Amino acid sequence: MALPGALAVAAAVARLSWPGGQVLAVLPVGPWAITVTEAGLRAGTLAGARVLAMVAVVLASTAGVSAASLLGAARWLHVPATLVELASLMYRYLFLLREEAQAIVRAQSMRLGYAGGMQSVRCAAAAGALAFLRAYERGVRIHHAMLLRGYQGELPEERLPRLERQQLAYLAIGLVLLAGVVRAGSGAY
Amino acid sequence: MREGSTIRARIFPPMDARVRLLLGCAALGAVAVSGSAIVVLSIATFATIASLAAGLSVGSSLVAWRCPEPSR
Repeated sequence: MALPGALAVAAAVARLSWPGGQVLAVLPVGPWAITVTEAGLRAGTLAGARVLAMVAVVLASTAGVSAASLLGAARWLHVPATLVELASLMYRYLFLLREEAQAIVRAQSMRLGYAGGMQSVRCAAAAGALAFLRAYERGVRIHHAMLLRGYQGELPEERLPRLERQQLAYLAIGLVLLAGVVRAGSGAY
Repeated sequence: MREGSTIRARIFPPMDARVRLLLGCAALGAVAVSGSAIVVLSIATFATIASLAAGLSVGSSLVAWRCPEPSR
């Protein structure tokens, strides 16, 4: 949660000086000063809260569910097949690419790479280029392998059963709760 | 313990991925549209509790799971 927290703070701080309302405070930051206005504080709080809420909602929707079932659900919701296919391939090969990049960096470090400021930049650039080349070559190989296995532009789709009554009840309760929260809080700060 | 968790799973089956996705989209829409920080923070709190509960549920089912005893 450190990265979303930092993003939320950045989104809030970026809006603190929005014009409108009274000036609440002037915060000195080194040679500069951030003027906090009433409208800015409101907009900043809302932006920060939105970042945190979106991360929390995404985590709650994906916690304890396999990526395959989520992607199947996305197809069921008529998300374009190309997007779902891309997402599934990305998910499949993301960890492999990360391992490959880590292996490259480890090999460079064992050969006295990353030993100074400019050398570190050069090593990082070389590692990035090598990782890109390997990913590209792997992509070509995977495409050939898929063609050999009868791929014709679309991955086979799993037929999902109808939603059971309990699942529909979950959906209805969730939507009612959500509508209740939004309605109760409309007009609040 | 295992019997209890089986009965609980029968009464409250785990949420289907489609329902999760629909509810997640609705919640994201509400967060994007709502102009109130309190509403947005309430949705964030509710979602955090839901993901913690999902984690606890997975953990408890792992604890409840046992290998069948070998027959003699």
